[in-house]
Amino acid sequence: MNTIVKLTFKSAARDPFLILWSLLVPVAGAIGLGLFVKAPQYPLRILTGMAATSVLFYTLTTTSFAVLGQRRRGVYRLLKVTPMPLWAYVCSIATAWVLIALCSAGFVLVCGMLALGVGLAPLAVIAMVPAVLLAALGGVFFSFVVASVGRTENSVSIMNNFITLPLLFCSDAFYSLQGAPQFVQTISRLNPLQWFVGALRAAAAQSWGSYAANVGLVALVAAFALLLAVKTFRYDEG
Amino acid sequence: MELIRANKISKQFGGRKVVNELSMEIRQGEILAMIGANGAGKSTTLAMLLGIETPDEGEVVRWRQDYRAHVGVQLQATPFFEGYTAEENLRLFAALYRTPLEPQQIADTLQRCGLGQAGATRAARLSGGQQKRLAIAVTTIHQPDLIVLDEPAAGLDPRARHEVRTMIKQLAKAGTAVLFTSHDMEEVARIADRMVVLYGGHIAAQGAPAELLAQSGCATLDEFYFELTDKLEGMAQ
Repeated sequence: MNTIVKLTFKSAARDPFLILWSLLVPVAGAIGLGLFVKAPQYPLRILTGMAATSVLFYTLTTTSFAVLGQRRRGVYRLLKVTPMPLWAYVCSIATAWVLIALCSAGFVLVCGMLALGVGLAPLAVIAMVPAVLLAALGGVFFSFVVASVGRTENSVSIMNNFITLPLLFCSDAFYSLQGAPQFVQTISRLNPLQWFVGALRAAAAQSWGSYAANVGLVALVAAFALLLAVKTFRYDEG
Repeated sequence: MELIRANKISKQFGGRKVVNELSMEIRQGEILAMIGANGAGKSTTLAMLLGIETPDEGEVVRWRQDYRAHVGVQLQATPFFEGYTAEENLRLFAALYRTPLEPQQIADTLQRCGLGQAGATRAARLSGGQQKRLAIAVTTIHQPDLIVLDEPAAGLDPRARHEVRTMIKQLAKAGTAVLFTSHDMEEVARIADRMVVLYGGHIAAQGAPAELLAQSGCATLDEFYFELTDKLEGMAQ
């Protein structure tokens, strides 16, 4: 199990999708928007929003293509003839992917904090860890669902866009929704990405009531995603 | 010694019987070729022999209960892990077979497969022949008793085909049984100790290639196969 986690971690460092969409784009977005928008609270707001986006892009988009690729190449079918149970393999790669997402979010936060001069209390940073882990776990489980339902790269790509774009635009990850139409505000209250961003911001503000509520909702989404992933899992293309 | 024996196994999908009362065995150290047109039931038979599918009827008896740890399998789609180097793929497959590998063992395996210089190359960037050799290498890292290869030399140039055949012969020489599927009769004639011809989900013929040729009076295995399948098609009509 350790070998699989280590090798998955190592190969992720060479993954161009991870480097572009979960590191470079969120860091550039956080710094660019943080410097451009002249509002005192905005740097922290965009920083948490971009950290959440980094986790979303990696755990949903990048890993769903990885799951699809492994299934198409017969990895899951092959597992049936190895002594390693499927659940142990899935746990290993999911652990690695969740840890990679944690590192990506940490990288975005640290780069943004240094560039924008944002300070975070150590307790706030510690509190962000469980929120990121749970959100990443949910994203990874959903990526299995997407890769199982979508049979080709095109359909997986379409599904990813269909999920991530509404999540992003109906959340206040990048901008405030105060002036948005009422229905967008209503949707945002039911938006898992909004709960994740809310958890990060509540951790930064050390507002523990809001933090617990948002983390709880993120945990529920992760549990629901796990159920869906188990229900829809496919060993092969058949 | 018999490693696997299938006794009258049958399997149907969607009301269609894909394998019909098939009996065969795989013996230690032999190279057994499984021949048949597309849809003849090769993949389903392999899946049942390996325990991926359960027969609807009949039984498969294997030489040990923990056989999964002692079988190396390369299915048609070579299951390389994208983005991993040849060396990392070996380590990952070793982990799947729960066989920890020392760096020296990895280097030796790569060397043995003629991939000594390609350990740090991503598997996807290896040539077709190198990929096939790596695929066979990953099936051998845990020193299995049986290796199953689905069309191991398909789509390779003559030199790469020769290299793959040499590897298979070396494995059998070392006592490993090799079961492979193929559409290439020349390949079967060159390396197989025995062959099993599948037609319509059952065994149409089995034996040593030379024996089958002698019995049929055919000059080549291609001729034997065409004659046999033409006869069976005529009977079916």
